[in-house]
Amino acid sequence: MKALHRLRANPGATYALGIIVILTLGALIGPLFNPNDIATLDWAHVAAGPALAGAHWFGTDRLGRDLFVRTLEGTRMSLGVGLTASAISLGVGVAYGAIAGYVGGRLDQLMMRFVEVLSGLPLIFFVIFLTVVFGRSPYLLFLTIGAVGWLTMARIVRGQTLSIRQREYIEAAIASGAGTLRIIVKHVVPNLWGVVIVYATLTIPQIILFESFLSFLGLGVQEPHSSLGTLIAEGAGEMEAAPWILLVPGSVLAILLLCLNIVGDGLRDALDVKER
Amino acid sequence: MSEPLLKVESLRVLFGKVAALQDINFELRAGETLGLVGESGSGKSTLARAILRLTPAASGRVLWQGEDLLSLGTAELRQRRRDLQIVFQDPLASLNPRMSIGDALAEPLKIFEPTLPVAARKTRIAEMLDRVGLSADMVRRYPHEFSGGQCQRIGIARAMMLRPKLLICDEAVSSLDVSVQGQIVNLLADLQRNFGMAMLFISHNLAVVRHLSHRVLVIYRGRLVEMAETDALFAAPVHPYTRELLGEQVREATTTEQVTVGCAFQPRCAYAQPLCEASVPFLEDVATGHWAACHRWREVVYSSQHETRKSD
Amino acid sequence: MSANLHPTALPTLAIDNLSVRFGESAAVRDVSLRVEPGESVGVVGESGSGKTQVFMSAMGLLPPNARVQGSVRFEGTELLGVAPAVLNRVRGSKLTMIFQDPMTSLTPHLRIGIQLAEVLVTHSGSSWADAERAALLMLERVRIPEAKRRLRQYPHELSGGMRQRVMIAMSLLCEPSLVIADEPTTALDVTVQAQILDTLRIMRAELGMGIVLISHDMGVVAGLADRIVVMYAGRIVEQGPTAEMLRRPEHPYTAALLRCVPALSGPRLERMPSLPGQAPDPRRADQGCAFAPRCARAAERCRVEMPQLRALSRRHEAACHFPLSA
Repeated sequence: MKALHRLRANPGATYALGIIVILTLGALIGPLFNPNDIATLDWAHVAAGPALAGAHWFGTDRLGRDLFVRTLEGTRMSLGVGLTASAISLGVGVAYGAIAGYVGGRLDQLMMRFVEVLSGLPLIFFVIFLTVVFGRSPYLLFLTIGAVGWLTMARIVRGQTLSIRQREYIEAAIASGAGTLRIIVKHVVPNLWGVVIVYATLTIPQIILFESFLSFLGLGVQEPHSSLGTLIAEGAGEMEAAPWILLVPGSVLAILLLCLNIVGDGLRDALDVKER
Repeated sequence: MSEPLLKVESLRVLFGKVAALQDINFELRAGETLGLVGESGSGKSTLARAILRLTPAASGRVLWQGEDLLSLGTAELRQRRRDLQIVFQDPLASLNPRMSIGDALAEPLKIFEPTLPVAARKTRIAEMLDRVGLSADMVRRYPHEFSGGQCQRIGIARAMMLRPKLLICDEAVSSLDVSVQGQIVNLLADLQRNFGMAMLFISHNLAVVRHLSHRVLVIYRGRLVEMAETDALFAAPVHPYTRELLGEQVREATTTEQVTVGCAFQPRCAYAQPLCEASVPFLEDVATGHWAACHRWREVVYSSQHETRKSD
Repeated sequence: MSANLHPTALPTLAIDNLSVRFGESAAVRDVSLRVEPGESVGVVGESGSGKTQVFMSAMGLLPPNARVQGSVRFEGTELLGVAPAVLNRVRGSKLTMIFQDPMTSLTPHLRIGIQLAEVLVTHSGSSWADAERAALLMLERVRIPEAKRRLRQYPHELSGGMRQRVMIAMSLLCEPSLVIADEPTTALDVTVQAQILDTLRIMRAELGMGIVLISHDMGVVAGLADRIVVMYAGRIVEQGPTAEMLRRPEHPYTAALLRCVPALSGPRLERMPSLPGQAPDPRRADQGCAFAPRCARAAERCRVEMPQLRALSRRHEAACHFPLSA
């Protein structure tokens, strides 16, 4: 794909992508290098500071749990949410928006009214409602966030589809005898990828932040598991006495979000050039 | 004489309240090339799209092999499309930029001959590429890698994949360099010789139309104003608009507004009289196989004969 | 109609050894060209010949990834690599350009009158009222029907031919020394082309400015140009006085282009004349004559040795090892 080549030519985006890959790999295989686990309480080292030479590289929290593995788990959780929720919003949003935009007419009106109504509902209440009904689980969390994330994607995709619909190659496809489904799948969607991928990369940070926020409120991931959000919530309370409890997950989150934004920008540039 | 393949009757197309086309009547036979000449905004491209139902018609009939295309259901219409193909003006724009040309050429086959095995399909694609003067190893390339002339060849190949009975060329060579136009025109002539399809060749360029067509239709502001065999039209044009096109002494319209009473050509016509305002002229027999829509055609013919005599 | 009245005067446009590259593609290769005051030059070539890029570099309109070498001097002042402020004093007033598609070169949401007046207000500092009056006069001069009404209209309300007349008017408002018309009639109907070219011819007779007319169609250029320059694959392959170029072309490419102008009268030919093959890839390196693969007269020497421009008679030169008169 020519776009990947162009992305590689962009130094900022390449480094950012590299950092994301390192963080992801670290989150996945890091625990193998560290004997601690997330639930063990080490009474000997309660609220100990970071000590790379010692038993706890990033220190421990108030209960003596190792911060290193907890941060890694938090990163896993946040990345998981980001990617899964994006994937859901991508899949549902693209299909919904492309169909509404291409078919047009009454179906389009109906579909978009539905989206508008859902958009009007306050996200938080929706999440609380679902959590109350289905209980707390990380997977439900992913689904919930994905379930609301698709709305904006659908709108964006519909807008793009409306403009693609006017293009001459769509007319040519109709004249060739292609049916509606074939046109949407083979002609409309492949020409949407540029916009869709860029938008998806830029919403992952938003989703991660949202999850962090929910966890901060106590609605997301629960003890003993952690997400970057819960760790930050915890750390906020210990800011004066043990600042590393906030700083470690906070920095990881900040770096992750920054890199995702840079990669998103880079992707947009890389894909746009091809359009020209 | 065989039945006409295509018969358009009283076709009328509206854009809002404005009639882009009205009272369109003509026939097309197998193996025949009908040229359609007109300026920008005359409705010639609209006619192509109305025949193929890419643009809705307000009234009239488009009889294809006896059936009215305008009254068919969606599925039935799609079935007929394999025989009715079109080549567009902008070669690059009519190709999906994200589809390799191999896939673009395979698509008509996948739609209408889905049981065709992959190998056979590839052979058909290679054959067609060869016929249009391109090489088979180009199948994996994308449209933006080709020149305008090459893209147009690809467009023609795609249209010809299913051996259509009618090929509509909508300004198919107008956006190409003059040095390349001839290549494409010759290709179309060759394809017609080999496959025997009927062609509707739409263009604003008379010289090119003259080369390819058996008969010519002239369209002005949505109405047909002259219809004749090519040689007859170019040797002795009757309608003042056609005469101006051939003499290239066109007086540009003094107003872009539609004339609402009588003949639409009045503001540009050297022969305009009050009677032209009274009613819209309809196509009349002016000679065998030659029709013109002009109230004063007799005076026009007389004055042109007078000129010829003077110059003898 | 040679207009070189002051032999010692500076040429209006002096291009020397101009090369333009985009990454691996060489769009213009070592082009040198002069336009004398009041002269009208036709530049002919296919898409990809580089004819447009030569003049885009003069106007400073090349995209940022273009690598330009050589010199382009307008009335003595170097234009390449110069600060935008210097370029803006000259562009739009003394050196103007008319583009191919008037729909995209006119701002869609501004009335015609404003777009025209803006040129005068910006370059000669006149008041809006004076500028609008001058605009109206110019519209009438370019034979736009109902000129006063047009001033208040928007571009989309005019036909293609009329929009192009507006562009011509815009290019002439500040009494330029040179107007560059890049394929001004290509997007128009054949019937309107003749009128637009007529208008250019009349304006030139009245105002005496130089014109560069760029086209892929020799027929378009023949009626207006004093001199014709033929370009192929980024190089000039032939140039000379129009009459001579039309009657006795030296380069096989020129002769082929002349054959491609389709005829309205005369016998109907079996095959429409055209050039076989297509223009060479701009990324290819120089090796021998670029036209050789398509040339009926090509020999081994043509594929190996690049032909240089040689004078074959007074003011007529061609770059060919086997020119047609030989």
